[in-house]
Amino acid sequence: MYYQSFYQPFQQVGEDEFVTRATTTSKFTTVEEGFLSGNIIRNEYRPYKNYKVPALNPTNDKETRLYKLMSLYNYLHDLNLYLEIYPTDKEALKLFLETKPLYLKAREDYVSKYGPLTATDSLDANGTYSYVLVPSPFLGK
Amino acid sequence: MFQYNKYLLYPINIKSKDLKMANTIVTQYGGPYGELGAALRYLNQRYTMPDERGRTLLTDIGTEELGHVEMICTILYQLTKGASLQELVNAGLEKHYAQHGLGIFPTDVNGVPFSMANVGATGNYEADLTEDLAAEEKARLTYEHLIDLAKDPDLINPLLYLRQREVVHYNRFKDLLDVYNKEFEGK
Repeated sequence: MYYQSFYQPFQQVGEDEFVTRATTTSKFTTVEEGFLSGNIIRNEYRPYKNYKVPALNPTNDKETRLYKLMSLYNYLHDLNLYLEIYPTDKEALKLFLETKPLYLKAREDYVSKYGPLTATDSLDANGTYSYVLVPSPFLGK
Repeated sequence: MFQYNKYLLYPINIKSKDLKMANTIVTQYGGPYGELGAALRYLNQRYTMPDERGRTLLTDIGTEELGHVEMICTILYQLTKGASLQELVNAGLEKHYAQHGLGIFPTDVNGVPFSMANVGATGNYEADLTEDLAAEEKARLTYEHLIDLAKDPDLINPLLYLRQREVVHYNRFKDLLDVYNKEFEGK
């Protein structure tokens, strides 16, 4: 199955709250599958030729926390798009409400250790406004 | 209002320069089926959607497309970073360099600057959402062409993600159009 290869990066974190929430019979994927495939709705996923869903390989704690945050945001965002059309869908609403605290915690876990992600997260970092100390994300590694 | 989060929607870390690829990928920045056009199309059409479902869906997909603009510009930046003048000339980019140096600028693959001239906004949900379906399909196909041309997995992976997002958007627009057609019958 295409999603078996990318479980490892997140298991390395070893945090129980980042376990799959959706069941295998759900129309929705897990958080990890949804991020790596780009689609949280199983039967809507359209593969391209023989390209396999890529694994993410975080190389350090910062990347592990960041990729976890990205994947949780992606899941919430896609549930949001779905709920905007079907606001009374019970399963989608339940998943949204369950995932939201995970996202907020992942965000706090990242920001508390690696700095602000929005201007309003900023703090005093040894007399410097910390937001400008964070490199822009397009710079790459 | 709009707020910026200082992280990308999906990781992009390209290690090797590729100016020819950059010159091709620019179509998804300023080209006819690119992300900038998509963002502005949806953010523009949202005002005349029949109700809050349409207004918020187009706002949120339009906002996501701005995040995709950022991803495409990130790819362009990383593919061209540190390029020498000779490398630019070898890649056929002397015209771009003359006007923009190593700067990023929204054009299509032929250097024609971005235009909203052919982006639709009719004030009618049926016409607007039908255009949006076509736009997402054209964007998906463009990504497929770019994936066909790319060799570097660090580049292919974000392109695969961006391609799948077009599939998701197509499905959400289709859902909304179906719901509205049932409820509003073309009003």
